[in-house]
Amino acid sequence: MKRPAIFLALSALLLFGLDGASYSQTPFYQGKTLTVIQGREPGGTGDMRIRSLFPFLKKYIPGQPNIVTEYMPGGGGRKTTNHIYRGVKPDGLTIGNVGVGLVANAVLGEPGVQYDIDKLIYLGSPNSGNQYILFSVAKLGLDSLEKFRAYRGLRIGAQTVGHDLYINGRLFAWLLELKEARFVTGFSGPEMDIALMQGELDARTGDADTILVRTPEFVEKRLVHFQAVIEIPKGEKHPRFANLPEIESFAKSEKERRLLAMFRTFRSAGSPFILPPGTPKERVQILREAIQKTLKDPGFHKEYRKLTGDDPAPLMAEQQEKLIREIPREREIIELFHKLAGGEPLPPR
Amino acid sequence: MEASLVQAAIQGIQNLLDPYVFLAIIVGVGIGTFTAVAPQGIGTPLVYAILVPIVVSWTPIRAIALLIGASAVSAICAAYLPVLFGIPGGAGSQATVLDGYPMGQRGEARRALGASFMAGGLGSLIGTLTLALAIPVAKPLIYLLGSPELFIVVLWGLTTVALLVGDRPIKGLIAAAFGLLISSVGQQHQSGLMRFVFDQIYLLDGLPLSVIALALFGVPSALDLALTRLGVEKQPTALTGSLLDGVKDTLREWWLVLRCSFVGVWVGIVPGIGAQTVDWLSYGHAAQTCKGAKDTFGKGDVRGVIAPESANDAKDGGDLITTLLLGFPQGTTTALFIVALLAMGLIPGPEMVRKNLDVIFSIVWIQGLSGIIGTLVGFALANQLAKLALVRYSIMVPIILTFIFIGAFSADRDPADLLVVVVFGAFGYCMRRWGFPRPPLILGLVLGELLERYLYRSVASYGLSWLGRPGVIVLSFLAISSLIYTLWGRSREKRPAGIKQRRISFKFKGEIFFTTFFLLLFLAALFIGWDWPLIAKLMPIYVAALPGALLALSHLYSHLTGQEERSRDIAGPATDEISTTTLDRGTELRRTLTFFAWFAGGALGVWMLGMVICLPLLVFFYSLIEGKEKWRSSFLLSGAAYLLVWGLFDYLLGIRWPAGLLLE
Repeated sequence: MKRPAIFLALSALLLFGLDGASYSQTPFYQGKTLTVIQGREPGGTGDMRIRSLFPFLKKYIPGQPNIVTEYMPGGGGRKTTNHIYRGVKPDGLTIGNVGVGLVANAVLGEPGVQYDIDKLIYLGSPNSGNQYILFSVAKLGLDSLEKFRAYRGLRIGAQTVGHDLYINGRLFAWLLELKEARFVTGFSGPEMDIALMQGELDARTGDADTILVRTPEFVEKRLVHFQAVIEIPKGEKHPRFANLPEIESFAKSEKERRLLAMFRTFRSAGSPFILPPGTPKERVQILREAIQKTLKDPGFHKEYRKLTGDDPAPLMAEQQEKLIREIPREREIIELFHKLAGGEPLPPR
Repeated sequence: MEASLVQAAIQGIQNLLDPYVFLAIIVGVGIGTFTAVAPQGIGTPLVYAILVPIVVSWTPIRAIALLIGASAVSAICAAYLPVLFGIPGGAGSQATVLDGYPMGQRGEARRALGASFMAGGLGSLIGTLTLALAIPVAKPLIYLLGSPELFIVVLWGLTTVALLVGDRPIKGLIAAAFGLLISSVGQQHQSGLMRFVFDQIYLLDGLPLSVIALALFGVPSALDLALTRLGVEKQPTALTGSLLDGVKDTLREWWLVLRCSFVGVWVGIVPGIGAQTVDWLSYGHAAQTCKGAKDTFGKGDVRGVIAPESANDAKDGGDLITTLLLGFPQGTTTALFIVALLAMGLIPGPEMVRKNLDVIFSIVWIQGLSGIIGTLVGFALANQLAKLALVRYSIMVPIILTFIFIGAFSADRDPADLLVVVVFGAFGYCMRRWGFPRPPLILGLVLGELLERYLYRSVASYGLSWLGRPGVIVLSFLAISSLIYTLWGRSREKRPAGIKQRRISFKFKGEIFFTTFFLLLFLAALFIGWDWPLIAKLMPIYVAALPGALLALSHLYSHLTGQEERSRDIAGPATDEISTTTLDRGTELRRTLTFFAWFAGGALGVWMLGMVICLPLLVFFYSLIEGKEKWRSSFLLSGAAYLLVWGLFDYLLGIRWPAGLLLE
């Protein structure tokens, strides 16, 4: 009786041992293709950010898989995230990458969201955080915050209702208690700059680095006056705009501070790489480590800067998960955020 | 300033005295030519997305030479698809199909291609020259036009609908109203309201213009071949004319080339107008100003090819004016170009004008040189490619369907795009069948969003005071004058009597059905959108659906009371929008249904099995069963489709098609 048992046990040991040994000798990703589905059109800055990672990612994933990309724009990233969450096999061979809308759309309950942000698996992001500057055209003469806040009927430009810069503008207008501020949408970024110079707009918000790189004459020729800043994350100052008052200094209540905390978290999440729930833990670990090494590689930083004009601001997977887990989700704050992000008049404070 | 300009111009030429720069231009031109003749899924933005990470480590001038070479040429050579296959080319080459394809059908493909390349080459040179001359004056030029002025200009563009509606203005206006209506699908920028979205993520960003244009024009063209069984039952018209004839046509119409090139440059300069409008605006301008155009445009008038092609290529010069001199990208391609420049330490905009003027001039010379080389390449290939017009339908139809599916599905890789292409393909057939012109629909779709955007911006920024701006008054006067002049000219023309269109009785009843369908769509839109806030319903309800419904009712009334029949008997020649097949009713119906069965089946197959599996199978079985081709040729054709779909996209470019639903 004992012999068959011993024999079976030894066979099993041999089998699994050998199999384990052969498994550990052949990395899972060797000879395989890793597909990165991007929730955007090809060719934009977001695409360049992700493409800058690929050579390094390949280097750091054991087995050096082939990496290919697919594009699935639409719905501000909802289409891609839904697809990753529900439509792909959780085998670690398909990764998604979307923009900042991933977290915001889910928390705010936007239509079309078919995923749970608490069940997605996060791998990190090459970018997170920014500083957004509120500025007005110099011709108006609003060279102090007091004058700026006293001005009636300021025309603030933005792309569309719900766009990042639109929400920035609305937050500023609300917390600074601007009088009769008007939000004029339908501009692209460059069109807004032209409209400012033409006198069609009075003010706008913009990314700090983009202002300095794309429109240096705004600074050099003093064509605009810089009024205030949103720091993401809070406390992360831009060296050129360190003297500007931060938006939270205008908050009067804990509710307003919670709102800003939620807003900052939305933006801090960056452009997350995601995996579907159920992906085997060891493959998640492989990918997380590879992305972590990539994000720390000086070569990647150089490549990123070359292709985007910005420095990366990496967010590691564990930080990203913690950020999303701790995001404020009170109904009252969400409703307030909806009002600020929408097209209705600003709510009273 | 003048001395430094001249010095910079000379230095710009000296920068190019490097054999590698010339080689880079040649390679770039080769890549650009390839993207021009490839299906719509491979465009300059994708090429740039692949090239930019590679070239940023090169010396700046060599990198710029490759990139500019690739983009300068893709528009010049884009006329192949419209002329030979009846498929719109990329953005900016859609209107060419209106006259280019009829020319190809009557054997004048070489003449059409010759005219398009020559016009494109000249347009490119004019755009380049304008770029060079604009360096001192670009900024004030761009700042001259604000939202109010742009609104009037776009409105003026819409008035060209009056010229594109043929002899049946009501039908054209119904089509234009429908175009305006569907342009409003999606989330409105100004209010955030979801219009006609029905909780579908797919519709959040609106209906895809490129897919609709492809379907409206490409599908009926393929159907025509399948109906007539070109090459089997009906012999193709022998090739007549030559490339040189097209060249002569273009040189003779030099004034048209110049005017349309300036339209193109202007569209390129003004941020926000977009590449998709340039060919329609210039085509409309040509239809408005060319002698006899109302009788010949849309039926194979070479001027209908020259106008959009010269504008489309001149636009690149305008794009570069805004990109280089102001640092504003005009689209994905120029945005990527800016990325490349920044990576090389060059900051486009006033900074670049101050510090790297010689590089700007190098770009000018590269642009001009690329245009010349691209034109010559086009001429070199045209004679052989023109013979595609003689290929029998059993081979051409599956090729065209392959291109249509690739073009449609590559936009967003969304299965819903397949549904859109089938629906609008059928729609395009019905429009052509029952005399509803398609260009006004496209024009409404293209310009509707712009119109709404500029109107909103004008009112939001200025209240009503924008109506009194000098630029608005001047432009309004010009627009109204040209419209009145055009309509007055048409009303004075005698209509020849006794010219009857060949009609099949089935078409008559179908027209009532189709008009009723339009009416129901407009009424549905009215019902859905009536309670929206004014800012959201102004365009779709008051400008599109309400007038559209009234026009449809009026047209139905004309039919039901027999007025339409009487007016048809005394009307002059119609536009090309009427199908001219001479088959008996039963055969036409049977072949049409068969074609759509293959087409819809192909779309279903792509959705279920994926592009890589389904398209080669579709090609194989269509050629074999429907086309009665031999096994060998069907297999070879299928293999070519596989190489295109998998080999080019998946293997070479590393861009994967989504797996089909059954294989996910």
